Amino acid sequence: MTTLHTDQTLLGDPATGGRAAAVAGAMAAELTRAAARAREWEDGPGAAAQATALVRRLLELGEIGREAHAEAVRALAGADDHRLAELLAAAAEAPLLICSAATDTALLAATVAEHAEAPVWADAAAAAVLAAGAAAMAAHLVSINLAVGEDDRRALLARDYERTASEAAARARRAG
Amino acid sequence: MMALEALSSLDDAALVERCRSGDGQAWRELVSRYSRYVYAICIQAFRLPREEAEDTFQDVFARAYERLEGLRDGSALRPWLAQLTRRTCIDHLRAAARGGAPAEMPDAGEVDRNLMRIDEAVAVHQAMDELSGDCREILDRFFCRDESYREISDVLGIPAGTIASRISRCLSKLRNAYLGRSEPREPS
Repeated sequence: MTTLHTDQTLLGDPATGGRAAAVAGAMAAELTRAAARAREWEDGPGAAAQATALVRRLLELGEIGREAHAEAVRALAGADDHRLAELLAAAAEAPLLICSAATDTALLAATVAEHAEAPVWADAAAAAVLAAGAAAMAAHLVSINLAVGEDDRRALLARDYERTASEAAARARRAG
Repeated sequence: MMALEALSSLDDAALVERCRSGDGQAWRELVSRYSRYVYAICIQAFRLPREEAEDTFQDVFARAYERLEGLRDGSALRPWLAQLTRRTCIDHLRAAARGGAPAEMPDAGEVDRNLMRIDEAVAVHQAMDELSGDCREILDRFFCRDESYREISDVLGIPAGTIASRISRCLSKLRNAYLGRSEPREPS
């Protein structure tokens, strides 16, 4: 039996929303990779390789986002206010990239779900739903960033990614 | 004398033949083709400091020039250069140790593992060169530049919904090209 320690953390310190979205997206990509490998089909190895690349990309973005978030928080606290706008903009860029990578994960998982059979199909569909959730989290973080207005290019793009990911998750659910 | 473009399309055996006949441009092509490989062995497999790696790099190609006649099978140029680089790196580390410089001989198993990784990377690059331009570009954009499906779709004008499948098909071609190239060869 696995022993859980209360001081163990999935997200590192400090835990941030961006890092959580990235880790959720990476978990979805890992599940997609396992589902892609579970059955032999023409595009399976390629789908697994793409999922591996997305795991790596999402985890790296989670780290980049955490550092950008920490800098923006420090600037907001007044320690570095002359760079505030620049740091807030940088803090919005990482969740946008996480949103994009999570959306790709949802699209890939939906493709895998369409080629999988039970019970693997259920895992691929679950991966698509999780990835869509990660994309929605990241899109939310972009929209609430103080440097991003409602009609800002980044906010519109994030909403579009979120919609694409949500449609992919719905497609994955129907695939069974 | 052959044009540079024509030289770059020669296989290793033909290139070695031209070098042996005294073609200076062929020699420059050989150095250009393998300079990153030799440098990667010095830096990554033997962890030489930059300055020492540059000296070793020069020595490797000087020795290669002198000993090229002894290479029986020109198509085994890469493993032959790997072995030559390995010996030259060891010579440099021993000379540094004799001179009292802090030089640590790397673990042989670790060197072998790093050499294998470098060889794989070279083989993947060479296999990439055999793919169509479209496939090379789509793989480069997704795996090396970390571009999203949407960015790739926008730049290449391919429907976004087909990008994942395209990448998978291109990877399959890359795998076939790689497996066709990765038959192990012994240095002669």
